[in-house]
Amino acid sequence: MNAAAKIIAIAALFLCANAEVQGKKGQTCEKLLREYAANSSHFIQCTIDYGVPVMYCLNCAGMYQDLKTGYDNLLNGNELLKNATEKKCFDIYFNQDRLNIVSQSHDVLTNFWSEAFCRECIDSNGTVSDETKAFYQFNDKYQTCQTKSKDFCVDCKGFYVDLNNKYKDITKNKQICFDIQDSMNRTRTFWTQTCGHDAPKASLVAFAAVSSTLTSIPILFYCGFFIYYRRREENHQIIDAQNTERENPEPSHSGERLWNVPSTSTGFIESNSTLNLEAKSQADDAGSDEDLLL
Amino acid sequence: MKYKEKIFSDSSDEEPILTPYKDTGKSKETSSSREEPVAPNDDELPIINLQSETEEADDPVIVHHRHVRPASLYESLDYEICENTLWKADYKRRSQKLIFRKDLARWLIFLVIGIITALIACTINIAIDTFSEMKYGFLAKSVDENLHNGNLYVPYLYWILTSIIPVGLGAALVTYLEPVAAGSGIPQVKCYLNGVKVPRIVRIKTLVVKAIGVVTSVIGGLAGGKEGPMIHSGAVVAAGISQGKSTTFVKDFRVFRYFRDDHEKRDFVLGGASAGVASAFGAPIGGVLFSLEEAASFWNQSLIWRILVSSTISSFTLNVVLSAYYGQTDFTITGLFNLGKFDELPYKYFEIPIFVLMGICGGLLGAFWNTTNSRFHLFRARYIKPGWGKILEAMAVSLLGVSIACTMMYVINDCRTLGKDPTSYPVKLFCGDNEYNAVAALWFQTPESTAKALFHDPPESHQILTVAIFVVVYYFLSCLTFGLNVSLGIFIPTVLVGAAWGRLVSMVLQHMCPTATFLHPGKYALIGAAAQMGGVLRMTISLTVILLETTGVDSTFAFPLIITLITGKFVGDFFNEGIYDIVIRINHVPILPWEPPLKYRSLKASNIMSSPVVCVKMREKANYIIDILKRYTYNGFPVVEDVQGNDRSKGRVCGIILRSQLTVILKESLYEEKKRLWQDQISIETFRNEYPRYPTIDKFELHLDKHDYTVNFDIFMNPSPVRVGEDDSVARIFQTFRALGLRHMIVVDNENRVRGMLTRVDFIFKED
Repeated sequence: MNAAAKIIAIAALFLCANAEVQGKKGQTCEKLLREYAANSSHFIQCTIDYGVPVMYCLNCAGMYQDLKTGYDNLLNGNELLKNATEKKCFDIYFNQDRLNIVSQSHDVLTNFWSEAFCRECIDSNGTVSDETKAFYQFNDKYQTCQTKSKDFCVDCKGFYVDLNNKYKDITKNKQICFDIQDSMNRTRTFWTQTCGHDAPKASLVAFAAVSSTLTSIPILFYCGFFIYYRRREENHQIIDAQNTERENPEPSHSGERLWNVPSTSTGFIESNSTLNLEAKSQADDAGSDEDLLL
Repeated sequence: MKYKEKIFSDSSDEEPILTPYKDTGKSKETSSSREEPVAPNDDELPIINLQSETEEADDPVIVHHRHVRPASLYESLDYEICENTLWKADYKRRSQKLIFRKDLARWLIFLVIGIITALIACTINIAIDTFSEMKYGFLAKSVDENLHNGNLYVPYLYWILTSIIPVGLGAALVTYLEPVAAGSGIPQVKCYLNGVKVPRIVRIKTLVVKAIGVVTSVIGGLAGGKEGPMIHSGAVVAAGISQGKSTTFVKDFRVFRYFRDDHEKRDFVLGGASAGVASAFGAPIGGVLFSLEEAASFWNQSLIWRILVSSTISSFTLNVVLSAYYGQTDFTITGLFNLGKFDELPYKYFEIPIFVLMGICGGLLGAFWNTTNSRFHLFRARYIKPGWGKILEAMAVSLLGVSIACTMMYVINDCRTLGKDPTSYPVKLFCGDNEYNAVAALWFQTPESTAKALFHDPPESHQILTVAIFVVVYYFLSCLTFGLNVSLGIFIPTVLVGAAWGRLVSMVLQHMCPTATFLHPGKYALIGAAAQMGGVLRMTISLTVILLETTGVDSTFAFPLIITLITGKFVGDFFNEGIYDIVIRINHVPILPWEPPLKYRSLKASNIMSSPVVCVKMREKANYIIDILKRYTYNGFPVVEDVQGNDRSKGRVCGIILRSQLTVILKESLYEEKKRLWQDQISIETFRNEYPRYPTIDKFELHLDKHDYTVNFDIFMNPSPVRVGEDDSVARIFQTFRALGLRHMIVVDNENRVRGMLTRVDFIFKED
């Protein structure tokens, strides 16, 4: 028997054994899958039940917990599968086809949870956060008042303001549990519709006075500078004009010949500032620049 | 730059067209000199001295003043490698190993440039974010608190205080510490890459002022962004690291000496600028294309590859650091300027005409913006001169912005229901408890967040009136802001204005035909932004790619973007130039265009060259050298031989020597008579060590007994300067000049005798 045959034999044996394990596991895995399916359907029913107005974070927390556990079991195996060697339910139910429905459904369902920032009011152990509790205490007070009172705009105003303030505290966080947000939005809408809101309408007079005063500063600033420099410029022009008159009659070229750079009596033409070919050809006077930049 | 005025008698028929952006000060002078009676000498004209308006002429000898051009503010960079004897000796000595090491060092520097640029970007971003959050959170709270006792001016005053203090601080920094750090920085970098040395542009002090300046002005709520400054910062980082020394801190690390010349430095600056774009926009490819678009005349394949790697590293580093800072595990923060990802933007064929119309609109708006902005600029240059005036102006503009924003907020009662749209600082104001004020939502954040909101807010987030007024106000506010003496970019305000009117278009269309389903406001905001940028910036390649990369739309949307950008640019170009080119022109920077000026194309070299040329003989006396250095501000002197008599300017060309080399030769006393003293030690390093701040000649005094010493240029000069014949066509030599990035071009006759000299300014059409 050569080595290759040996390997084949061992591999065949291993495969048989593996198939047997898989068969046994198949049943366990099926059970887990059923569990997960049931959990999912409970959870989705709950979310829709409590979907509008949104209250599912607090009401469906248990089911969400079950859903997570069921899925984890399916993914990683649990007590039941401890004896099985390496292979897990994962290989049976995941990435088997294009739809990949098991993990897809899980993604969709957990999205419900994370989109609503539910973990802000209830953590993974199912403990409701203190802030949420406090908020609902205020909310309950207000709700009781609303149902009992006749003239609730007057009676419940204190409760409403308290609730509002509590909510403002909570909104300091970037993410707010949507149960709270939705409940508050509805309360506010209801309140505003029924009782109106008491924002002041006519307190803009003081603002108008202050702002028009301050807005005039930039305008004054620009005008001031404009007038000041305009005047100064005019004065300078007079001085400049006098200066040029004084400077012009100085045709002195002394010092030009020092470096035997030819100097002509025609004076200085800036050779490179003109396109005049005529001037260019004569432009061998000392005034021309080698270049202006360098 | 100052040109002598041509006499009016023989030039009236040839008077070149004046550009609309002529410096008013100068034109004033020009006209005044024109009205003068005939000068005593017919061919002579009074010198135009720009400074005479404000300063006393610093040169008492008028004659001198006339012939010698005053040193220009801008110098050229020496991209040409001086392949003299010393260089060749150095090159021969180099082993294979050293060449390998140099290559490795080059890669290493590019990596470090990428990383450090990104880290600076992160610091700026985090600082802006933290302070803005504090500021706007505080203001929103203050509005809420003061609403009920009616003191609505209290938050307004707070808002003013929290705006003008940072703005004033930033303006003071820029004005008194480093004026070159003002503005966006992109024009300056563009000039640098074009081959103009803008003084102090790549110093560490500039970087510090720029970074702090941009943080203060964005916090102050000015209409500006941090992208331009980021690009400038990248360039400074690159120029600093690649040299292995800091002149500011007088520290030489004695590394990377072989990179100490303008040519190598330019390549690194190119990489730095592109890393800056990459970290600013999260657009590595956009960065590479930006550097190509702005400096495309000098590049090769391996350089581009290094630049791409450095840009990618830069945007990756930024991503990692910012993601870690904001506590995200996946690297989703791709750039400072993140427009947020669009999922998919489907468009219908009949929308393309709408996009084209929007492009036309953007071109018109952009051209008008540019004109207005340059008017403001001229106004400032003329009337607001003292430093404190500039600071006050920045504060005044900031105050104006706050006042308008606050008035809008209080007067327009645009209430939207909370919860549908993620607003960072919802302010209730006069709205119901369940609502927020949409105007306050636009103003109570950094311009960048506002732009993001305009792209991504769901439809029906604002009233038409709100957005319409916002567009008008922001349009003029950004126009007034750009050009203030603060460090601020132009990119974000342009995006913001464009996005706002783009959104407005979609809202109006939706209002007119409520059944249309294709009117996604975000899509129209993006097209509006593209149109506005096409109209204002006039960049094409890099802008398209940057927009694609920042918004993450797939490349099917590239077509609408390109259509819009092209139309915007085309319509805008009909009226004026892009804003960066306008800034460059206003500052009189001699930047080389892509093509030679139209009027020059039919001319010959001898028509545009400057002559006579100041030359030196192969063996020259020390005091002659000192004299020409002190006398002229020129930077290149042809080395000639076969000189008849003393007329050096007609000699035969055998090389060229630069001013920087001459000063080093004098400083190190490299005289022929003392040759035995320095012969063994001299090497190319002697010259490299002085780079980039060569000794100046002003303070140099020659020892009396050295006057007759001679310098032999044989081993120092560049023996292969670019020479052109005097009859060569300008169009042809322009190509050579631009493609090789030359600084000097010697015009010779057919006997190889000097006829003239061509430099950058000779190729630039003189408007006055």
